[in-house]
Amino acid sequence: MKCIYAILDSSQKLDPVFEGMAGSFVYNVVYKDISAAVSDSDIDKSSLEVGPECALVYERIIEGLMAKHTLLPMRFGTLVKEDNEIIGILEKHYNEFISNLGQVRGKREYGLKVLFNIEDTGFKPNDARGSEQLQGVSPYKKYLLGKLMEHKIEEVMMNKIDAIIEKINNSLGELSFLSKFKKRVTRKIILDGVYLVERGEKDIFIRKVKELKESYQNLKFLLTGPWPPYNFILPLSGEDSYVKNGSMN
Amino acid sequence: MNESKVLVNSESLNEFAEELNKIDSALPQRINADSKNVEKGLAKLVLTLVELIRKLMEEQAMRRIEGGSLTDEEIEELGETLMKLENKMQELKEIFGLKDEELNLNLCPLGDLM
Repeated sequence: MKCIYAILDSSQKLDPVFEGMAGSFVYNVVYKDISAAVSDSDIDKSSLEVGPECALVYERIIEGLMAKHTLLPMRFGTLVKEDNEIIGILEKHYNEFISNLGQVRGKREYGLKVLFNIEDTGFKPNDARGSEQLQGVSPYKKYLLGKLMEHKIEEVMMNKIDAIIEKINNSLGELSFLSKFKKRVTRKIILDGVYLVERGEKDIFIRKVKELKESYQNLKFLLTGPWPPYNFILPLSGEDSYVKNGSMN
Repeated sequence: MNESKVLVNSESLNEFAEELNKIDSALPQRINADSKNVEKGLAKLVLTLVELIRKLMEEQAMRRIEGGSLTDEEIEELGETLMKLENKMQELKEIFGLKDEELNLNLCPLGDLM
Protein backbone atom coordinates (compact mmCIF):
# COMPACT_ATOMS: atom_id res chain seq x y z
CA MET A 1 0.00 0.00 0.00
CA LYS A 2 0.97 3.61 -0.49
CA CYS A 3 0.10 6.32 1.95
CA ILE A 4 -0.52 9.70 0.30
CA TYR A 5 0.36 12.72 2.43
CA ALA A 6 -0.07 15.68 0.15
CA ILE A 7 -0.23 17.01 -3.38
CA LEU A 8 2.84 19.14 -4.07
CA ASP A 9 3.31 22.10 -6.33
CA SER A 10 6.51 20.54 -7.68
CA SER A 11 7.76 17.91 -10.08
CA GLN A 12 11.25 17.74 -8.59
CA LYS A 13 12.16 14.48 -6.92
CA LEU A 14 12.05 14.67 -3.15
CA ASP A 15 15.22 13.93 -1.20
CA PRO A 16 14.73 10.98 1.13
CA VAL A 17 14.71 12.95 4.34
CA PHE A 18 11.28 12.29 5.81
CA GLU A 19 10.44 8.96 7.31
CA GLY A 20 6.89 7.89 6.56
CA MET A 21 4.24 6.19 8.69
CA ALA A 22 5.70 2.69 8.39
CA GLY A 23 9.33 3.68 8.46
CA SER A 24 10.03 3.96 4.74
CA PHE A 25 11.07 7.28 3.26
CA VAL A 26 8.64 9.72 1.71
CA TYR A 27 9.06 10.10 -2.04
CA ASN A 28 6.94 11.72 -4.70
CA VAL A 29 5.05 10.40 -7.69
CA VAL A 30 5.16 13.00 -10.45
CA TYR A 31 2.55 13.97 -13.04
CA LYS A 32 3.30 16.99 -15.23
CA ASP A 33 4.23 19.83 -12.86
CA ILE A 34 2.70 18.43 -9.70
CA SER A 35 3.36 15.37 -7.60
CA ALA A 36 1.99 13.36 -4.71
CA ALA A 37 4.12 12.84 -1.61
CA VAL A 38 3.80 9.19 -0.61
CA SER A 39 5.48 6.44 1.33
CA ASP A 40 5.23 2.69 1.20
CA SER A 41 3.20 1.07 3.90
CA ASP A 42 2.57 -2.50 4.86
CA ILE A 43 -0.65 -1.64 6.70
CA ASP A 44 -4.14 -1.51 5.27
CA LYS A 45 -6.92 0.93 6.14
CA SER A 46 -8.63 -1.36 8.62
CA SER A 47 -5.51 -1.74 10.74
CA LEU A 48 -4.30 1.85 10.41
CA GLU A 49 -4.06 3.11 13.95
CA VAL A 50 -5.85 6.38 14.48
CA GLY A 51 -4.26 7.91 17.52
CA PRO A 52 -2.24 10.90 18.72
CA GLU A 53 1.15 9.34 17.93
CA CYS A 54 0.29 8.54 14.33
CA ALA A 55 -1.42 11.89 13.90
CA LEU A 56 1.70 13.66 15.12
CA VAL A 57 3.94 11.67 12.78
CA TYR A 58 1.62 12.54 9.92
CA GLU A 59 1.59 16.20 10.92
CA ARG A 60 5.39 16.29 11.17
CA ILE A 61 5.68 14.99 7.61
CA ILE A 62 3.15 17.49 6.27
CA GLU A 63 4.82 20.39 8.06
CA GLY A 64 8.25 19.31 6.87
CA LEU A 65 7.02 19.27 3.28
CA MET A 66 5.23 22.57 3.78
CA ALA A 67 8.50 24.27 4.71
CA LYS A 68 9.70 23.83 1.13
CA HIS A 69 6.58 23.33 -1.01
CA THR A 70 3.11 24.64 -1.63
CA LEU A 71 0.90 21.68 -0.83
CA LEU A 72 -2.59 20.35 -0.37
CA PRO A 73 -2.60 18.01 2.63
CA MET A 74 -4.50 14.76 2.23
CA ARG A 75 -6.79 13.33 4.86
CA PHE A 76 -5.02 11.07 7.33
CA GLY A 77 -5.09 7.48 6.15
CA THR A 78 -5.38 8.07 2.41
CA LEU A 79 -4.15 4.75 1.06
CA VAL A 80 -3.90 3.35 -2.44
CA LYS A 81 -2.37 0.15 -3.78
CA GLU A 82 0.12 1.28 -6.39
CA ASP A 83 1.88 4.26 -7.95
CA ASN A 84 -0.30 3.86 -11.08
CA GLU A 85 -3.37 4.66 -9.04
CA ILE A 86 -1.68 7.81 -7.80
CA ILE A 87 -0.91 8.87 -11.38
CA GLY A 88 -4.56 8.24 -12.19
CA ILE A 89 -5.68 10.51 -9.35
CA LEU A 90 -3.27 13.27 -10.35
CA GLU A 91 -4.38 13.02 -13.97
CA LYS A 92 -8.09 12.96 -13.19
CA HIS A 93 -7.98 15.94 -10.82
CA TYR A 94 -5.06 17.81 -12.33
CA ASN A 95 -6.94 21.03 -13.08
CA GLU A 96 -8.57 21.06 -9.66
CA PHE A 97 -5.24 20.52 -7.92
CA ILE A 98 -3.60 23.27 -9.98
CA SER A 99 -6.40 25.69 -9.11
CA ASN A 100 -6.33 24.83 -5.42
CA LEU A 101 -2.52 25.00 -5.24
CA GLY A 102 -2.70 28.43 -6.82
CA GLN A 103 -5.15 29.52 -4.19
CA VAL A 104 -3.00 28.47 -1.22
CA ARG A 105 0.40 29.36 -2.69
CA GLY A 106 2.38 31.70 -0.44
CA LYS A 107 -0.18 31.52 2.34
CA ARG A 108 -0.62 29.79 5.69
CA GLU A 109 -3.63 28.84 7.75
CA TYR A 110 -4.21 30.26 11.23
CA GLY A 111 -6.82 29.09 13.68
CA LEU A 112 -8.59 31.36 16.15
CA LYS A 113 -10.85 30.28 18.96
CA VAL A 114 -12.60 32.80 21.16
CA LEU A 115 -14.08 31.78 24.47
CA PHE A 116 -16.74 33.62 26.45
CA ASN A 117 -17.81 32.51 29.89
CA ILE A 118 -21.20 34.03 30.62
CA GLU A 119 -20.63 33.49 34.34
CA ASP A 120 -17.63 35.90 34.16
CA THR A 121 -20.15 38.70 33.69
CA GLY A 122 -21.78 37.81 37.01
CA PHE A 123 -24.74 36.10 35.38
CA LYS A 124 -25.59 32.75 36.93
CA PRO A 125 -28.16 30.36 35.50
CA ASN A 126 -30.98 29.78 38.00
CA ASP A 127 -30.37 33.22 39.56
CA ALA A 128 -33.43 34.48 37.70
CA ARG A 129 -35.57 31.96 39.54
CA GLY A 130 -34.73 33.64 42.83
CA SER A 131 -35.65 37.12 41.62
CA GLU A 132 -38.15 39.30 43.43
CA GLN A 133 -40.60 39.15 40.54
CA LEU A 134 -41.07 35.46 41.21
CA GLN A 135 -41.59 35.69 44.98
CA GLY A 136 -44.82 34.10 46.15
CA VAL A 137 -45.25 32.18 42.92
CA SER A 138 -45.80 28.41 42.94
CA PRO A 139 -42.69 26.25 42.40
CA TYR A 140 -43.80 25.06 38.93
CA LYS A 141 -44.69 28.51 37.72
CA LYS A 142 -41.47 29.85 39.23
CA TYR A 143 -39.51 27.18 37.31
CA LEU A 144 -41.04 28.09 33.96
CA LEU A 145 -41.05 31.86 34.42
CA GLY A 146 -37.51 31.67 35.77
CA LYS A 147 -36.45 29.78 32.63
CA LEU A 148 -38.08 32.47 30.53
CA MET A 149 -36.14 35.20 32.33
CA GLU A 150 -32.88 33.29 31.90
CA HIS A 151 -33.57 32.80 28.21
CA LYS A 152 -34.24 36.50 27.75
CA ILE A 153 -31.09 37.55 29.57
CA GLU A 154 -29.01 35.03 27.65
CA GLU A 155 -30.58 36.10 24.40
CA VAL A 156 -29.67 39.74 24.96
CA MET A 157 -26.16 38.75 25.92
CA MET A 158 -25.78 36.44 22.94
CA ASN A 159 -27.03 39.10 20.54
CA LYS A 160 -24.27 41.37 21.84
CA ILE A 161 -21.79 38.53 21.52
CA ASP A 162 -22.92 37.88 17.94
CA ALA A 163 -22.26 41.51 17.10
CA ILE A 164 -18.77 41.22 18.60
CA ILE A 165 -18.10 38.01 16.66
CA GLU A 166 -19.04 39.79 13.43
CA LYS A 167 -16.65 42.65 14.26
CA ILE A 168 -13.79 40.29 15.10
CA ASN A 169 -14.34 38.22 12.00
CA ASN A 170 -14.67 41.25 9.73
CA SER A 171 -11.43 42.73 11.12
CA LEU A 172 -9.52 39.52 10.55
CA GLY A 173 -11.27 38.76 7.30
CA GLU A 174 -9.87 41.99 5.85
CA LEU A 175 -6.35 40.72 6.55
CA SER A 176 -6.99 37.24 5.14
CA PHE A 177 -7.14 35.90 1.62
CA LEU A 178 -9.92 33.56 2.71
CA SER A 179 -11.63 32.83 5.99
CA LYS A 180 -14.25 30.54 7.45
CA PHE A 181 -15.80 30.53 10.86
CA LYS A 182 -18.39 28.88 13.03
CA LYS A 183 -20.28 30.59 15.85
CA ARG A 184 -20.97 28.99 19.22
CA VAL A 185 -19.49 25.56 18.63
CA THR A 186 -19.90 24.95 22.38
CA ARG A 187 -21.58 26.99 25.08
CA LYS A 188 -18.31 28.83 25.73
CA ILE A 189 -16.42 28.71 22.41
CA ILE A 190 -18.26 31.48 20.62
CA LEU A 191 -16.01 31.71 17.58
CA ASP A 192 -14.00 29.01 15.83
CA GLY A 193 -12.38 30.58 12.79
CA VAL A 194 -9.69 29.68 10.27
CA TYR A 195 -7.91 32.28 8.18
CA LEU A 196 -5.72 31.86 5.10
CA VAL A 197 -3.12 34.61 5.39
CA GLU A 198 -0.33 35.71 3.05
CA ARG A 199 3.03 34.87 4.57
CA GLY A 200 4.05 38.51 4.48
CA GLU A 201 0.92 39.55 6.43
CA LYS A 202 1.54 37.22 9.36
CA ASP A 203 2.84 39.84 11.79
CA ILE A 204 0.05 42.30 11.00
CA PHE A 205 -2.49 39.53 11.50
CA ILE A 206 -1.07 38.52 14.88
CA ARG A 207 -0.91 42.15 15.95
CA LYS A 208 -4.58 42.59 15.03
CA VAL A 209 -5.58 39.58 17.12
CA LYS A 210 -3.64 41.01 20.08
CA GLU A 211 -5.44 44.35 19.65
CA LEU A 212 -8.79 42.58 19.62
CA LYS A 213 -7.81 40.66 22.76
CA GLU A 214 -7.06 43.97 24.49
CA SER A 215 -10.34 45.47 23.30
CA TYR A 216 -12.49 42.63 24.52
CA GLN A 217 -11.38 41.91 28.05
CA ASN A 218 -14.29 39.56 28.75
CA LEU A 219 -13.23 37.25 25.93
CA LYS A 220 -10.37 34.76 25.81
CA PHE A 221 -8.42 34.32 22.60
CA LEU A 222 -6.37 31.40 21.32
CA LEU A 223 -4.56 31.95 18.04
CA THR A 224 -2.49 29.08 16.62
CA GLY A 225 -0.50 28.48 13.49
CA PRO A 226 0.85 28.47 10.95
CA TRP A 227 -0.84 25.28 9.79
CA PRO A 228 -1.05 23.51 6.43
CA PRO A 229 -4.19 24.70 4.62
CA TYR A 230 -6.40 21.85 5.87
CA ASN A 231 -9.54 23.95 5.86
CA PHE A 232 -9.01 25.48 2.44
CA ILE A 233 -8.89 22.32 0.38
CA LEU A 234 -11.54 22.42 -2.32
CA PRO A 235 -13.75 19.33 -2.64
CA LEU A 236 -12.88 17.17 -5.61
CA SER A 237 -15.33 16.18 -8.29
CA GLY A 238 -16.13 12.51 -8.86
CA GLU A 239 -16.32 9.43 -6.70
CA ASP A 240 -12.76 8.99 -5.51
CA SER A 241 -13.54 8.21 -1.89
CA TYR A 242 -9.88 7.75 -1.07
CA VAL A 243 -9.09 11.33 -1.96
CA LYS A 244 -11.90 13.01 0.03
CA ASN A 245 -10.26 15.80 1.88
CA GLY A 246 -10.85 17.86 4.93
CA SER A 247 -12.94 20.96 5.40
CA MET A 248 -14.36 22.86 8.34
CA ASN A 249 -17.60 21.00 7.79
CA MET B 1 0.28 21.31 21.18
CA ASN B 2 3.74 22.55 20.25
CA GLU B 3 4.23 25.78 22.23
CA SER B 4 5.60 27.53 19.14
CA LYS B 5 2.20 27.12 17.43
CA VAL B 6 0.44 29.15 20.10
CA LEU B 7 0.70 32.74 18.91
CA VAL B 8 -1.82 34.56 21.11
CA ASN B 9 -3.12 33.07 24.29
CA SER B 10 -5.29 34.46 27.06
CA GLU B 11 -3.61 32.14 29.59
CA SER B 12 -6.53 29.76 29.51
CA LEU B 13 -5.34 26.75 27.52
CA ASN B 14 -6.96 24.36 30.00
CA GLU B 15 -10.33 26.02 29.58
CA PHE B 16 -10.07 25.73 25.79
CA ALA B 17 -8.98 22.09 26.07
CA GLU B 18 -11.97 21.35 28.31
CA GLU B 19 -14.38 22.90 25.83
CA LEU B 20 -12.82 21.12 22.87
CA ASN B 21 -13.18 17.81 24.68
CA LYS B 22 -16.92 18.46 24.78
CA ILE B 23 -16.95 18.58 20.97
CA ASP B 24 -15.07 15.29 20.91
CA SER B 25 -17.53 13.50 23.13
CA ALA B 26 -20.40 14.42 20.78
CA LEU B 27 -18.61 13.12 17.68
CA PRO B 28 -19.47 9.71 16.26
CA GLN B 29 -17.30 7.18 18.07
CA ARG B 30 -16.06 3.87 16.78
CA ILE B 31 -18.47 1.15 17.77
CA ASN B 32 -17.36 -0.78 20.83
CA ALA B 33 -19.60 -3.78 20.90
CA ASP B 34 -19.12 -5.10 24.41
CA SER B 35 -22.46 -5.33 26.27
CA LYS B 36 -21.78 -2.54 28.80
CA ASN B 37 -20.92 0.01 26.09
CA VAL B 38 -23.80 -0.98 23.84
CA GLU B 39 -26.20 -0.22 26.70
CA LYS B 40 -24.58 3.16 27.37
CA GLY B 41 -24.47 3.98 23.65
CA LEU B 42 -28.17 3.22 23.32
CA ALA B 43 -28.99 5.27 26.41
CA LYS B 44 -26.99 8.15 24.99
CA LEU B 45 -28.92 8.04 21.73
CA VAL B 46 -32.31 7.81 23.40
CA LEU B 47 -31.56 10.52 25.97
CA THR B 48 -30.18 12.81 23.24
CA LEU B 49 -33.48 12.55 21.41
CA VAL B 50 -35.47 13.07 24.60
CA GLU B 51 -33.31 16.11 25.43
CA LEU B 52 -33.99 17.52 21.97
CA ILE B 53 -37.73 17.13 22.44
CA ARG B 54 -37.52 18.61 25.93
CA LYS B 55 -35.68 21.68 24.65
CA LEU B 56 -38.15 22.12 21.81
CA MET B 57 -41.07 21.89 24.25
CA GLU B 58 -39.35 24.40 26.52
CA GLU B 59 -38.85 26.87 23.66
CA GLN B 60 -42.41 26.41 22.55
CA ALA B 61 -43.58 27.10 26.11
CA MET B 62 -41.43 30.30 26.25
CA ARG B 63 -42.95 31.54 23.00
CA ARG B 64 -46.47 30.87 24.18
CA ILE B 65 -45.92 32.60 27.52
CA GLU B 66 -44.42 35.63 25.74
CA GLY B 67 -47.29 35.59 23.27
CA GLY B 68 -49.78 35.54 26.16
CA SER B 69 -51.58 32.47 24.88
CA LEU B 70 -51.32 30.45 28.09
CA THR B 71 -53.56 30.73 31.13
CA ASP B 72 -52.10 30.67 34.64
CA GLU B 73 -53.29 27.10 35.03
CA GLU B 74 -51.61 26.05 31.79
CA ILE B 75 -48.36 27.71 32.85
CA GLU B 76 -48.56 25.84 36.13
CA GLU B 77 -49.19 22.51 34.39
CA LEU B 78 -46.50 23.03 31.78
CA GLY B 79 -44.04 24.11 34.47
CA GLU B 80 -44.72 20.94 36.44
CA THR B 81 -44.27 18.72 33.37
CA LEU B 82 -41.06 20.35 32.24
CA MET B 83 -39.57 20.53 35.72
CA LYS B 84 -40.25 16.86 36.37
CA LEU B 85 -38.90 15.97 32.94
CA GLU B 86 -35.69 17.89 33.59
CA ASN B 87 -35.24 16.22 36.97
CA LYS B 88 -35.85 12.78 35.49
CA MET B 89 -33.34 13.46 32.72
CA GLN B 90 -30.78 14.43 35.35
CA GLU B 91 -31.42 11.15 37.15
CA LEU B 92 -31.04 9.10 34.00
CA LYS B 93 -27.85 10.91 33.01
CA GLU B 94 -26.38 10.05 36.40
CA ILE B 95 -27.44 6.42 36.12
CA PHE B 96 -25.75 6.03 32.75
CA GLY B 97 -22.79 8.23 33.61
CA LEU B 98 -23.53 10.74 30.85
CA LYS B 99 -22.57 14.41 30.89
CA ASP B 100 -24.71 17.20 29.42
CA GLU B 101 -22.32 17.80 26.53
CA GLU B 102 -22.47 14.14 25.51
CA LEU B 103 -26.13 14.43 24.66
CA ASN B 104 -25.62 15.66 21.14
CA LEU B 105 -25.31 14.14 17.71
CA ASN B 106 -22.97 15.25 14.98
CA LEU B 107 -24.84 15.20 11.69
CA CYS B 108 -21.62 15.88 9.73
CA PRO B 109 -22.40 18.39 6.96
CA LEU B 110 -25.46 19.63 8.85
CA GLY B 111 -23.51 20.27 12.04
CA ASP B 112 -24.55 19.28 15.54
CA LEU B 113 -28.15 18.36 16.35
CA MET B 114 -28.21 20.76 19.31
